[in-house]
Amino acid sequence: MTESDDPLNEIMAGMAAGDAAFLFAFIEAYGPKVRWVVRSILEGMGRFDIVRNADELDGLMLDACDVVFRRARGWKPDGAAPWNWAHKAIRAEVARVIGHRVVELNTDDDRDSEVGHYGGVVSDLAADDLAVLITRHPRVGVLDRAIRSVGSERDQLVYWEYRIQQGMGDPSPANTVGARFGLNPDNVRQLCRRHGKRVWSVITAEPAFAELRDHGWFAA
Amino acid sequence: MVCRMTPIDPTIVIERMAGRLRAAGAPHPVSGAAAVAARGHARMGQDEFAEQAGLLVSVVERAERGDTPFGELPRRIGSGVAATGADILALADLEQTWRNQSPPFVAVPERPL
Repeated sequence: MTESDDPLNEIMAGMAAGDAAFLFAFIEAYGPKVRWVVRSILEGMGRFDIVRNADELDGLMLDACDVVFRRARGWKPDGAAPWNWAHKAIRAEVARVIGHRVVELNTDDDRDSEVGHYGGVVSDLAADDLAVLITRHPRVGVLDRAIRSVGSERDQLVYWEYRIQQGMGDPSPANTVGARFGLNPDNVRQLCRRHGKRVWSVITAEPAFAELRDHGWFAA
Repeated sequence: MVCRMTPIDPTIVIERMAGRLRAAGAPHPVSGAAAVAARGHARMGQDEFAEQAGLLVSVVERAERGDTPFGELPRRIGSGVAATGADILALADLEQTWRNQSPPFVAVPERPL
């Protein structure tokens, strides 16, 4: 399939042209993915009450799809999936709608200005969503300890971000993470390969991490 | 990690789109939104959709603006609405309810939904 045949590209092009019919198509095809993003944002904010309310969750999902629609012209087919690319804007919209305190003011348009400030960017995922994941899934906590047991703090953050982007369906996580951390995509891939090998060494050597030995991330 | 991937109910999407059309003063907002959804489900631009349905583009435009009552939507658009999987009865009921109410006096949002 060529890039232009990808239904997501076609839909995003329609939305970029301001055609609401393609917004419907986007919601129809990708709404569940956007809902997952909204859900993770709400969980990161501790708003499990809204997560449990299907109507409210879907309302916020539609708000989030609106955000993607309004920004569609800025999306690039070779970049991150739209719901990842617009994550900050979606988060800001969710916070605005539910009246949550918003500390972060950057948007995706400010991405260039984020170079060098990787700690704040990753805290979106690592401090909020990751913390929630660790609470709910103890094995993620073990994985987090293994990842943070080797390398520099930056490498650990880049590795986590790369894996999270990959897990959320980003077709080119190295580009997304590279842009956020001010790194060349090739360097991101190399860094992650290297860090992954170090983590794997620790996992195979340390009994405390034995339960991770069948984890797919580290399969050769 | 549990990932809920339940499909989205097209009826709520159409209702929301209809709300925007209604706020903009469309006389038949629900049928308008349903017509937009039908084309979105087909993933076609207006020209292509009109051609494929054997309709004038102006007919499609009028329907999508909310100028055409539900019962007068061209059959090809109607079948497109059904193809979205939306609850047609619920939509028709909403159109009827709104027809019996005063129009909303709200600011028109610059949003498609």
